[in-house]
Amino acid sequence: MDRQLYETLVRYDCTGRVRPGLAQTWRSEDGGRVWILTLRPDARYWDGVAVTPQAIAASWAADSAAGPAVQAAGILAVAAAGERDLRLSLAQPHDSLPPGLADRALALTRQAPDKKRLGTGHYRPAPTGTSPLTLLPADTSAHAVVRVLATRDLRDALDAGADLVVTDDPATLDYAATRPELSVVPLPWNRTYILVVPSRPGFALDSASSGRLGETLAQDVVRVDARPAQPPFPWGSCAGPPPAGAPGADPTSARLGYPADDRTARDLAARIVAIGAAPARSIVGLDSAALRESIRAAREPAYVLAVPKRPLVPCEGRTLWPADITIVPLVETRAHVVVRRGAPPVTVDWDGALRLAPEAP
Amino acid sequence: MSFRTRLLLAFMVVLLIPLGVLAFGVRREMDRRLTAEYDRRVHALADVVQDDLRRRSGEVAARLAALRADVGSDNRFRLAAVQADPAARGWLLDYAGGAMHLAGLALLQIQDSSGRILSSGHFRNEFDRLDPDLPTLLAQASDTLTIVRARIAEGDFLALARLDSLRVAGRRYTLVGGVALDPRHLGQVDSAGGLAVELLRPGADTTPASAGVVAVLGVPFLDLTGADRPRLDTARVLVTQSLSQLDALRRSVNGWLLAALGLTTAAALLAAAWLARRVSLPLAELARKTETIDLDRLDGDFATERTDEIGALSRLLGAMTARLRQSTGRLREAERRATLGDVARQVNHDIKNGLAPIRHVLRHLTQVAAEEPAKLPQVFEERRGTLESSVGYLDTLAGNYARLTPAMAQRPCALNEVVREVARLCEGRAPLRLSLAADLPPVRGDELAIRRVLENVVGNAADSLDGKPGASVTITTERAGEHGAPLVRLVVADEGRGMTQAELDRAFDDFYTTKERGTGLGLTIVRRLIQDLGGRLRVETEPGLGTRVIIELPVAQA
Repeated sequence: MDRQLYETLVRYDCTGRVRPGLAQTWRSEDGGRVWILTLRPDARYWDGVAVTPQAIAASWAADSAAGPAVQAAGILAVAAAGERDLRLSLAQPHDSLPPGLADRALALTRQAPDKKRLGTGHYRPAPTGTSPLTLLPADTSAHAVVRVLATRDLRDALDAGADLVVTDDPATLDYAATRPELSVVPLPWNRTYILVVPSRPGFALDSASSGRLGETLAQDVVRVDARPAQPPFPWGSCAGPPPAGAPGADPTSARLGYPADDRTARDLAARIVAIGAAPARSIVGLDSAALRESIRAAREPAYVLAVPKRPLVPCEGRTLWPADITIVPLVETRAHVVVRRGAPPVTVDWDGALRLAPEAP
Repeated sequence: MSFRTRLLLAFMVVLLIPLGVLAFGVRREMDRRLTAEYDRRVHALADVVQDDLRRRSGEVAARLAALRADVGSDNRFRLAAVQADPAARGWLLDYAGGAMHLAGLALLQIQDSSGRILSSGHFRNEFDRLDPDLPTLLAQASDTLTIVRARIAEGDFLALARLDSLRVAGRRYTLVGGVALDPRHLGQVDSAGGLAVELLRPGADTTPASAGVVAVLGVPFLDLTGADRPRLDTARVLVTQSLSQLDALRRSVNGWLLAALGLTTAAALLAAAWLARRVSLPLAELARKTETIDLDRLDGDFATERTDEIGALSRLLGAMTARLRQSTGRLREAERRATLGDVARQVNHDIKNGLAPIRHVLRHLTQVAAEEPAKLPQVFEERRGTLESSVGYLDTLAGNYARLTPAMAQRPCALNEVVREVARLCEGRAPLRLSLAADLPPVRGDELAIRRVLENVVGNAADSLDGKPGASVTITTERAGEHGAPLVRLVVADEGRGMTQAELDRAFDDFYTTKERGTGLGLTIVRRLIQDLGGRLRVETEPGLGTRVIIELPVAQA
């Protein structure tokens, strides 16, 4: 829902084309090292305050989450170049706008006196707070009021009249397929599962079998819509050298790590262990902090992780990993959107984010 | 070895040996009974564990039978397993997981006849793996429950597994199902009681050294996690009873026994000391009194209020002393009478000796008067000295014999009168106080003897004051001897210098005196007179505080 509330300077549609956001136009200078973005004249916060280049620079400076995104986007300096112009100095020359500008971490926010976060999106939260959460049109546009239903079983949401459900749960999709008033539409393949093998003596993947691993795992192993991972892989320029692969380590105590809250990753890891595709005897679920630390310290011989198939910043996140890892692509998955027939249309961005489109006049 | 030491040793022997025997007996009986109880509990628990395993085996078999019926009747299984319908494959892969949870199992695996895993509940993604050994080995374990160490994605776990099978379209499918096994929960053991159930896998070490009582059950065991092909082995369910509680009980009993031993020893010491004091002190007192008895000192007081054996002994000694006193009196009387003849002859001799010069002078004067009357005055003057000397001799002789004790009269005598008379004679020598009983019965004896006794005792008392300011002599008479023969007690108490024990011990010796001009015979005469009167005499004295002379005389018979 954040994408409905907070805007970035630009966005990328499902075809990868850059689209205006807060910035209406843009141009490059200095051979692509400097980009000037001109804000749209009606860009205003929900309280009516106009958005200025200074406000954007201040927002990025004040938001701790924006710092890494600014760095990942290769932005060296942010400054106002005019009443509506924002000047971005880049570390490397770019032929086009850096895709990282569409990173949700760089969405514009401002803290109101009552501590609430103010955005510039087409929607804003109902001022009094509602349960379920209600999003109101921020202006007089044709956007409909949106109620966000919170339920454990998405089938309950469908039965409650939800117009839009995004899920990869097969039970929900099977149920929706039986309901004539609902349409199930697959979203783009947006997640790639990979086997990360830190460089560690004693463990090596059979390159031949690892090449076929994606095909093996795409069938029956996971309970979501999956297919073998297909290139191009965004991490190609990020991967380090292959592991040393010295034999002799005891595989009986080796484990395969995965994110504890990712069932698909667990299924993949379990299958890899079951068929002996990796030198591990069991699997272990780790929370995000423990997983990051475990990978960095190479405590386990391999990990099954999910990465975005279409990242705005290909190597984002790799800064936390050791340089000398091997990445074996496994499968890629996608979610589905269940739409009630006649409901307002939605669009999908490059990174899989849904955007509620205005109602047709 | 003193009587006290012997008594203490006797107490120790009497108390400690039985206590030691008791401690030994208690410990031995405790060990025997608890060990027997532990043995009973261990074997009872082993029976419970065995029953529990059988019960679980039956439950697993029943659940597998229900699943077998469910699978056999489900067309989706037929489509997936027999017809290899891709649309039903996903259902089949997830079937075991759902069925396993619905059936309350922790392990469920469905295999086809070749041993290929069609669906696994505990490890979903091991499908299509070949594992023909599992049903084969479970079948070898007959129809009993088998402990299986099964593999799951996260590691492995122990399960109590059984085997079942069904036929679909002429093909045989096997179902392996089981419940999770936690050895700690076997038999619902309360580990606080020292009971423990432990599963020893094949090849595990033997019985732990800490185990006390042990019972062992053999259970078929199958390890599916090893790198090699699995084989049927035997695990041991070890039921143990720790002896820690027994050891703690032993320590506690030892502590209590030691405490009892210590207390008993202390009590024995105190009792021995108390009893020794209670027994030996009166005996020592009796011995001390007895030591003072001789023929000249038969006035020891053995009177006692005790009713025990020591009291009887004391009274016996008192009676013996009384009899000795009477016998001594009679003996002295006989001796006096025997001596009287000698004295008479001595007196006769002495008088004759005294009279002989007088007789000669008288004859001479008679002769001069007859022959030369004119010289008579002159001769008388010449012989006058002889006469006076002879008369003086006789007078001296008479005085000396007067000191010899005459035979005392035995008649009623008013003691108070004698006391008053002696008091009058002693006026001026010392302050005297009289405390005389009004109804005092007459005593039996001789007034003269009693007067001599009183003169001596009161005189000594007056001398002992020695000018001490405010000090006085008190003479008291009273009735005494309520429990025996009636007596009259005469007490002469002074507030003088008193006597030391050494002085008291020698006070009745002849010629012992502490006075410059004393003869040392006063108290000797007093004691003999009292003995002659059939009475008793004792002295209580304290240096610096004074002396009490206590005389008890028999009352004259009416």
